[in-house]
Amino acid sequence: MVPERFEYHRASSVDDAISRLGRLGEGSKLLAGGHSLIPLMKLRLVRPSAVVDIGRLSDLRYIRDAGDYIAIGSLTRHCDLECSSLLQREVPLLPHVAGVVGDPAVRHRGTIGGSLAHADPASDLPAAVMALDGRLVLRGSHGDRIVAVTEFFRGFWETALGHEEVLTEVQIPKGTAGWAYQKFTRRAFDWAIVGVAVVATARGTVQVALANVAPTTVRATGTEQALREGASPAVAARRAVDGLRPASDINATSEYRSHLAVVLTRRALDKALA
Amino acid sequence: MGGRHCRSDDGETSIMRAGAGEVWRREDRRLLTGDGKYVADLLLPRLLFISFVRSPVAHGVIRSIDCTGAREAGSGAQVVTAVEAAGWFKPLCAPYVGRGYSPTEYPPIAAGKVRFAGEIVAAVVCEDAATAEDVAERVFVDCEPLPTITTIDEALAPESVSVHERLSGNVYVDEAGAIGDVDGNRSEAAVVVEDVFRTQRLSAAPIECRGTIAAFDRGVRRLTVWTATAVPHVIRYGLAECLGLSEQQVRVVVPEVGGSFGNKTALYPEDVIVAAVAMQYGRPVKWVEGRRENLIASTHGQEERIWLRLSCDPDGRMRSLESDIVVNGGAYSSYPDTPCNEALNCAQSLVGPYRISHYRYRARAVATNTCPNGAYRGVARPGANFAMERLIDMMAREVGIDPIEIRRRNLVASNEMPYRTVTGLDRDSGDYVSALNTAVSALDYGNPSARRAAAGQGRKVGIGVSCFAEEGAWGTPRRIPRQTSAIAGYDGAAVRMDAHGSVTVLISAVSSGQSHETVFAELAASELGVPMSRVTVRSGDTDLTPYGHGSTGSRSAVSTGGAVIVAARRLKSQLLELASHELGCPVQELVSDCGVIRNRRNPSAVVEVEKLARRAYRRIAPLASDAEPGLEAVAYYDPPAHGVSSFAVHAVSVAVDEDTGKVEILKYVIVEDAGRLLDVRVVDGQIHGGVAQGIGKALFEEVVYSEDGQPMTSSLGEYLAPYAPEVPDLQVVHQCSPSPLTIGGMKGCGESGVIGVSAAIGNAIADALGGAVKPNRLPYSPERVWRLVEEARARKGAAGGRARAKEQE
Amino acid sequence: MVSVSIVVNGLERQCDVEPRLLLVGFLRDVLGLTGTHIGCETSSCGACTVLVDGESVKACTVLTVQADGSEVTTIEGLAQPDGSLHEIQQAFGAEHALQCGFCTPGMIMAVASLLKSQREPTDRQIRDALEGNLCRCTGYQNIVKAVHSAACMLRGQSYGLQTAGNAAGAGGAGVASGLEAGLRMTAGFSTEGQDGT
Repeated sequence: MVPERFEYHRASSVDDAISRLGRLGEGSKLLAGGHSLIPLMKLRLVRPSAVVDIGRLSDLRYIRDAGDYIAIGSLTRHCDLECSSLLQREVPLLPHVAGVVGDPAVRHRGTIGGSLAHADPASDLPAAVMALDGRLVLRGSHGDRIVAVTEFFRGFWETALGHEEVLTEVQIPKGTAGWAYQKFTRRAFDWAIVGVAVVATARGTVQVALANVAPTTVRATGTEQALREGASPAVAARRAVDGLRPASDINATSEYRSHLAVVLTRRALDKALA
Repeated sequence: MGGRHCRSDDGETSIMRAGAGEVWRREDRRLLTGDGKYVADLLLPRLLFISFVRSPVAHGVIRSIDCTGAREAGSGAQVVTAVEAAGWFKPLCAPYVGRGYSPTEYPPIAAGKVRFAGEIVAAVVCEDAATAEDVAERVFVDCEPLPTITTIDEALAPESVSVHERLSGNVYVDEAGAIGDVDGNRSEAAVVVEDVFRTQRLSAAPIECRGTIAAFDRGVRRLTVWTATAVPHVIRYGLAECLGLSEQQVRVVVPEVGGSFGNKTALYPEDVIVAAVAMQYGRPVKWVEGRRENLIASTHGQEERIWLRLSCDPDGRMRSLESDIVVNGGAYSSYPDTPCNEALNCAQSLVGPYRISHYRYRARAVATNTCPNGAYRGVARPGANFAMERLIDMMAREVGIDPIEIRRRNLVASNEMPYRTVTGLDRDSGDYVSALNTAVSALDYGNPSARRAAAGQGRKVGIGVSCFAEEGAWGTPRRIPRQTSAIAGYDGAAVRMDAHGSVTVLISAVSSGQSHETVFAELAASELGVPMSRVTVRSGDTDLTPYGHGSTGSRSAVSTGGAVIVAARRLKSQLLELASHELGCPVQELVSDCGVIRNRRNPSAVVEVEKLARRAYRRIAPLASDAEPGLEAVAYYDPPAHGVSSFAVHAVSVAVDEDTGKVEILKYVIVEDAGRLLDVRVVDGQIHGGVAQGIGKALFEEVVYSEDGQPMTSSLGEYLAPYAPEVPDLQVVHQCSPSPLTIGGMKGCGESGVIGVSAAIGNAIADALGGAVKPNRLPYSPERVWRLVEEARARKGAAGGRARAKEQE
Repeated sequence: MVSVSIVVNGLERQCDVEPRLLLVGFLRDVLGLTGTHIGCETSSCGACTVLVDGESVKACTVLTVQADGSEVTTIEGLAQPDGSLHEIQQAFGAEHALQCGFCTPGMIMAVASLLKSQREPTDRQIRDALEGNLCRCTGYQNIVKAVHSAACMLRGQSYGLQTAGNAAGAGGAGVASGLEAGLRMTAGFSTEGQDGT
């Protein structure tokens, strides 16, 4: 089983990638680690006419202390996040979540930028970045723009990223006071049936992000609101899927998925706020 | 491996500890270095590749197949539809004429109508595999959709569409029978329990998918087929039938097989097409299956609906059992098993290891627009065991007797053996009650402190057991009533010693992981009295080995083992004749051991086997005047007429997360009686792997179809075979009661591990949740268990409400 | 076609490849290294696991062009040039950690990656590290034992001695090779100069 034929372009820089995407048109796709894109190409669910490989742009693979936030290059791999002492110290949720993505082989190749740009609602890292109130740097031919992760996901596998844009950096604000990630799967290796990331900040706010209960990664606004109004974690958790209609699939009906979201939100809050 | 080893001091052959003989399996070195060659690894000159175009719909009439795009692709690829292939082959039709069975045909390439999503509608033949895939993508099948049925209940509904015009009411087989006075016993019984049990559709999912290469030599008009199968002689027979060849024109060669678990025990449409294309094009042809194809279009197994009614006396002794079994047979009757295998096997296995004298059954298999039913490890027995053992727990609760105790009272006792069940199976040896007691004590059953410790907040702990007798190694007499002429019930072995004294054992069985090269070398060496290092086992070539069934149904240790023993004994007697002549003493005084034959009475009278071998081939005197040249013996062994049964008890403790329904296995114990063990580590490995698959069935795996027959589990991300984190360490205890019925005392146990798991886990879940709930549907997905938790809470609430109401009265 | 240069089992390979050629296809079909197996399309089974620059990677989810300039180690490159098996291979053989052998090369490469970072993994760590490698035969129990055994050998200890009562332990072969293992450990999985084909 192989992908359909495509043109291969190896970008020499981000700007080169952007200009190639422009030249090659809508049928072209960016390739980072390839762990989201290549399986889809093999199953021929995605058939790019051309692939622009940015995987070798090592200047996009970094984790840096940038003062009040941590700057993470978009080609930083899950295994890099997992092992980063800087992240473990400043935003421990992120290395923890990176460590529950896929298996070690997937974590050796998968990148944080690829994971965000692919925008699968069942992904773990987007939920973590959303709970951490992350910002994304998108570079286009006219320079950089910064988008809050809450504004980034537009639909199932859809993002605010323009065709001629490259996600270059993820910015994670410092100041985690408590955190938790609850991932519910049938098997350890599987995608989350429901995932709940919670971050309690040093400022006293609590951010809750949910994986796989909506077409995109979302914030549990009902729960956050309830917490702001002083509700207990157990009570606030009951509002985890307010306004959402989780889908049914072979692993969970909508009803059960909603129930799981509540249970996992409660557990995550209990842990993060303990 | 932990093998047989020669001891020279007393001249006896005995079993030594592991490590004293050959530590490794014979198979291991090449498999560990990447030198093992599976079908996908084989190449031939001028090879053509095939990619199949498969039906996108579950049920429909083919209006047209548009190959324009494919032909325009300019790759030189050929598209073969049923039109092009007219006259190339006959449809697959299992040679089965059992009672209540209606035969149907399975056309290798769909003609006119498609009956399941994934059915082959065309084959693309091309110079390379990737281009074949590209071209197959450009073949468009236009179908007029027909109503689709996917479930047993839909198939049986009176107004349902017919999957096959030839079948009445979508029923492949409908067989019923009764033994004893069922109604009388039930009406006199103190307690009667009944329920419907449902087991899900499974995929065997061997890690190696299927694959076939065929080459036709036009000069000698012979077809050679390299294929991943466990039953080469069945494949040869079936291919010859479909292709209009005689069996001698077909040679089936089996390279390494990367797991079968029943999935590689059928002749498939792909095999027939690959062979036919090779014959038509005059070039060798290769097809290697993709995982999606394997998951949607090979065979599935074990989707059953089983209704049971069981009655007992006030002391829990069983009186009568009634069953109504329906198997989802899928869109076609598989070759050679047919869905009868699952349905009838279930009917006869249900009585289990218990004393039941009054039994009535009805067994059906129905057609639906889903992938055909075929063998998967255990076939009907995991389902039968699940239903029966769950029902016994329900009965125990009803009659107020501990579930372990009620089993003790009903298990066939060792002093009753050999015991023939009402379904005609022999429970030949062993101590079932003691095995149960051993399992229960190993589990620390009923230890309240351990139970409390494991429970913790929001978790409930339960324990469960299941007992089963597994009939392995079906012999020809067990097959005759079913008249499946494609399947022999016996296996064959030829044991040959060459002029250097080296021994080659040729067997009809094929290993797909069962260690035949090691186990049967050990066995032949110990029978012959030569070092194991002198013995080589070969298999998987119909031109080379004796005829036989192959490796299915827990049979090889018994049937191939039996054949190896008989053949080796025959060869040994030839050697003893030669030695007798050489040493001038009667055969009765001779012993063969460690490669030498000696006179028991005169230690100095010794002759090396090697020397005798040289004599036998070179005709060097002194030889008896009537001695034939060569050293070779062939034997066939047909297992006992009423089967041979291994026995096992599975005991498990689980914790149920009440909030999520997730089940964690805390401890798992298996007590197994597989008779004489040829190699304990191989047996343990079979049990470990079987239990892992059983855990898959109990908790994870399920082939799912949408209502319109689209396969929803077409990757290993969706079909949930368990990985290492999902399988706990297992404790295996052996009770080895050699079977008095088989040569060598072996009993089959290749499928044993998988059989008892669902029931044991189900009983443990019921125990954890308070027993009133009925976890009678598989798998125990978290959602399903969560719903049981909610149901248990509701019952408790209702009961509490009733109690309070009563107090207030 | 794209020109690539990949060091496979110590030998530099220069080829022109189609961009869509997967690394597993390059290894199997171009180089004839068929020890790396294909069990699925979706990086679910792990049968195709190889080491790329020392890290485990599923070769069915990597394009050959992505591996350009890398060092790849396959199952064929794990044994010593004289044919003596790597500790992990020895341990798998001694512990009966394989049956049909189809998942084995991928499983062993995944273990090789694990034991580079974890010298003494626990049961849980071993099972977690193998969470993406399917085995349908063994039930994993003997695989876990084999990983412990290999880790012991690589640390220069004897697994058999450490787990008294384990009659089916590494046996003689394991003890002997354990002594050599300590010396070889520093060499890691470097296979420079070997002809893995």
